Amino acid sequence: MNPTEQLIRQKFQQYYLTHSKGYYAPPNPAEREYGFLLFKEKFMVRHRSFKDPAQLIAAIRELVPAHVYFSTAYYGDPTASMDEKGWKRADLVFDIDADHLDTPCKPKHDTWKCKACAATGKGGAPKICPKCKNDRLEEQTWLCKECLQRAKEETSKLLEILYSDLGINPPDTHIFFSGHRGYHVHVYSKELGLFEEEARREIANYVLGQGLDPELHELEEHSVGGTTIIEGPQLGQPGWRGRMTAGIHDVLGAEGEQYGLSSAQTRTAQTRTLMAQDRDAFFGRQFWSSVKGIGLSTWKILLLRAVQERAANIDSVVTTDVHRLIRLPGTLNGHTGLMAMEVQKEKLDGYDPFSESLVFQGTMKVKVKDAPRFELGNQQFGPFQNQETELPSSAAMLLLCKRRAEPIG
Amino acid sequence: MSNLILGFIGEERARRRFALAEAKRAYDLLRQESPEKIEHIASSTFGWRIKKLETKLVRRFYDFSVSMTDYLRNSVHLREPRWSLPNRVLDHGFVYVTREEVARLIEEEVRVRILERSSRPPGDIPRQLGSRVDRARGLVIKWLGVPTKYELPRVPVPEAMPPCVRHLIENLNEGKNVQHMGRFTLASFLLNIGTGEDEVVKMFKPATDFSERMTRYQVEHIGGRRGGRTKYTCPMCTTLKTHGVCYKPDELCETIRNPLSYYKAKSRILTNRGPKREPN
Repeated sequence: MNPTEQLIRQKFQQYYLTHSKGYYAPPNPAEREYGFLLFKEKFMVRHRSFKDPAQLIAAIRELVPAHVYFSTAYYGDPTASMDEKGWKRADLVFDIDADHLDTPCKPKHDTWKCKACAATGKGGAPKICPKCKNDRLEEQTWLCKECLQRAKEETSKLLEILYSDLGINPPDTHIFFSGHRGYHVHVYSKELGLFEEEARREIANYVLGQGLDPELHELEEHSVGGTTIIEGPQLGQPGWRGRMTAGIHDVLGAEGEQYGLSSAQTRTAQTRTLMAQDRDAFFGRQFWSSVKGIGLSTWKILLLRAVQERAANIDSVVTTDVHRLIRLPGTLNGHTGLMAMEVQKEKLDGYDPFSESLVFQGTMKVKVKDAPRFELGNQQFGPFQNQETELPSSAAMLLLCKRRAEPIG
Repeated sequence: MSNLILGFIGEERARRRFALAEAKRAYDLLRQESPEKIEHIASSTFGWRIKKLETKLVRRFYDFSVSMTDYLRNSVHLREPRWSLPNRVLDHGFVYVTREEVARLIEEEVRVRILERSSRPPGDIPRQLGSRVDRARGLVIKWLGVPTKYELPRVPVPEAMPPCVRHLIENLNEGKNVQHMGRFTLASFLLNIGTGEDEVVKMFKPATDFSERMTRYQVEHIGGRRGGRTKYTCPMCTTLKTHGVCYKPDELCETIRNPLSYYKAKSRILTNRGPKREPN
């Protein structure tokens, strides 16, 4: 362990030793597998189980891990090897992470570096290095208000889909701030818990609107007495039908929007007529064939754009994995020093991850290498560039965990 | 009784055929039944949560809505896009379906149930059934031929590899970057068709970031000689589609769900054993 890691671990230890409340116990805690990622050599301790929460707390105090995880799955024997655990069921979980969102602020606070050719860039890392085409890219991410606000909006969209389309019971859903760049939604349902990977993939695709084909939702052309008319989904219809139609309303209302059309298409007279519509009156009538020259293919493009807007941007890998280890709420996130915690549904809108998840008291002196301007606990900090400074402990810990600062002395 | 006899014959091919034929028969019969009868069969025989709907949305008439759980249990086996959840109308946990679609979903339910029920029963064949089982086994063999276990060719046949795997190899050879999922697919595919570890490691040599030691370690890991000791199989086509590894799927691709099945089928054709023949 280097001095930074030693200091973080020491602070984590102090926190865990002085706090015995606030740990979250998932349903059937004894049937879960627990995992701990240690500071020391990033070693992963897995396949642990605990008969009661007190034992779990004792283990956290003894190991002082950088990250604490539990399995979304329920097992007969959580300590056995993967093949012999005896899978019973698994919570249905959704992960919304700013890493997967395309927020406009990313170039301001994220950078990447290619491990092969050392090329660097601003914003989220591309899939492959534009210079040497390698895919081993290192990201330096930051957590900012705008990113987390977007993640929260995606969470709200997700919940709406879960309740009104999938018929999930609101009391069965639990929302957690991950302590870093996003939110997790866990669904505790005996029925859905038995779903295997394929069924979960269908649910993930549904939430993402992945593979949705407007024509299979009856966006169709018909010939009536020699004239071609277009019919399609209507506002107020259940599921994606009503949602994507309402989405068209948003898409048409957005300024500077390309609607997913090519720039040539947006300049045509027909498209301009479409744009000039009074939107509310427009949606009050049979609108699919009301604008001359706007045909099936254009509507299809607009609908797919609307689906993209209304879909909840989840990481489908997490939802489809029935053996997933996921962060245990009530524990500290080693990437930030913030606490992963449950957020009450009614309070989601007003939840401020940058003040409610802070745990460290007092101040600390650190040497900051570089950091953008940021807000924590309703205070503004930075930007910093190679300077020694005394900060509230939570802010200092964030910089230490992000490797943007080093301990002094 | 048929299930019991099938179970004792222990012929996988016969079980599958019987299940499929019975399921298709159920479908044909159900399609012509009244909505009341269909609803009754679905709920009482199969325990579905199904509701009479009788709603027209645009032009299509939806007779029923079926609980998402009952829908997905059967629809996941059906591959046409119209069955995928995003293309369905989903309202508070219930999926809108036409009468024909309910019949198709029940067909699937029947098929899976027969397969489950016709698995080998415990114990010896009862004496009273002995002659009937023998006779039935004789018939199965007469129709389907002596069971041959088709074995993969000893030496890997490049011509039999699916388009995705060939594409990965081409990309590597041209020095293009292949991402993690692609590398894993290639390595697990090659190991599973019997390519030696040394050969597999060599395939990765043209990669820009090639390290013999790392590659060998990972290949050995996939092969189950290191780490968790699990021998990994090749990812399913659905996974490869998600990760953008699937490349120009051809006709044969439509009939398979895993690149290894493609290889098995194609090499069988190429080595002149011919495709599996349907009787008459």
